[in-house]
Amino acid sequence: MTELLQNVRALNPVPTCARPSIEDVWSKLERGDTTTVDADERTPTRRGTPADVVAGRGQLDRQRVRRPALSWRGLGVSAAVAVIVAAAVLVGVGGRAGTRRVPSAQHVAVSAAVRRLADGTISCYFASSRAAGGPDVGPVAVSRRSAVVFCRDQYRASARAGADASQTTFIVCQTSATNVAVYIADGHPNQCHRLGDRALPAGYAAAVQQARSRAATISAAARTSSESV
Amino acid sequence: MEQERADRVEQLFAAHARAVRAYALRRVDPATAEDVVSDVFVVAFRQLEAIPDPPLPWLLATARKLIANHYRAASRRERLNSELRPLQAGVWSDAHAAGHPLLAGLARLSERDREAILLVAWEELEPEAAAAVLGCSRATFAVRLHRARRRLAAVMAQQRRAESFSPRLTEATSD
Repeated sequence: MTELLQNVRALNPVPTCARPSIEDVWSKLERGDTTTVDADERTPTRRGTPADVVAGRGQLDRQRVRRPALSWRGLGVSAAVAVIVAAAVLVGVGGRAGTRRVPSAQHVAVSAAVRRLADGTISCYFASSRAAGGPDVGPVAVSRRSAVVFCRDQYRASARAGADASQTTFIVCQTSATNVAVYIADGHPNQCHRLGDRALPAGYAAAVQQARSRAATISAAARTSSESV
Repeated sequence: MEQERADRVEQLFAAHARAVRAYALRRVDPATAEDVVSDVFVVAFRQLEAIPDPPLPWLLATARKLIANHYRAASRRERLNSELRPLQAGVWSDAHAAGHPLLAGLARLSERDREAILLVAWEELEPEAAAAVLGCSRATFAVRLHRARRRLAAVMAQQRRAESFSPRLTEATSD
């Protein structure tokens, strides 16, 4: 190794580091994380890396690099955006949607499926696998509470829960299009897959939140109308 | 089958997570580095069959692509904000780069040149493994490294010349 490289080696800012935890990997896999590695190596060079910025080849240089591409690409993008906006306005005006945003077909399919699941039922298993006699509680429709909170309360109330329910970790899996099951976590990865279930889809928590606020709105409206009567 | 994959990923993680983390920490901020490490092993879990032996170059190449994705997304966000803020990324912060002329010289190289040097100097990879990270042959890597070293030396010489010129200029103006 040359002297120059040895000098660079001596400047290594992270000569060694602690091993990270693998838990993040398992939780990303459970969540169905969609990590992609589609970058090509031209990207950082073309755009200018943080180091370029640090080195003083700052904003002007970066703009200069980008400008020729922008003149053509920017024109194309502007035209495409104009067409899309015009189409969206036409659909909005022509259809009955009024000022409502027009979601893509894929968005509707995904969100409808997730919403159906969030509006569906919950089964609680007070074990780390499915009991032969079916769930300990459920399936029940519980629209105003999260599956884990609901099952934890049921677990606490059950006769067998001598153990501290707050110390027990639960895991939620999707068993069907309209049902989620809550199990006691066994501490090993991919529990849902091993049980033959699926990990919860992305957006489930948000859909539950929406369902909860919908239920709250409905009950508030019902309360108001009963008071006025 | 799933359990086997999980076991294999656990083995890979135990053996190489530290190296992948160090690689990421040398290039991005700590929070992003943690994210990159877990993402690398998520990809490894999904593409277990594609991982060659030895696996480290493949893992580092994946980390490199994920970091490039990160910069690309950051750049997109920048454009959306219509601001060209300098990215503050890990070791390439102003203070660090300005603190040592060699780091400042490295920062002035292209990403491609810098990566060739750092894979050998910081990741301490053999040329064959470094070539695998960059997705090129060993011979190509040797040429890249040679050119990168030459450019770094040129940049350093240029910096030295500029430094030796500045005081004289100051003296001349003060007279």
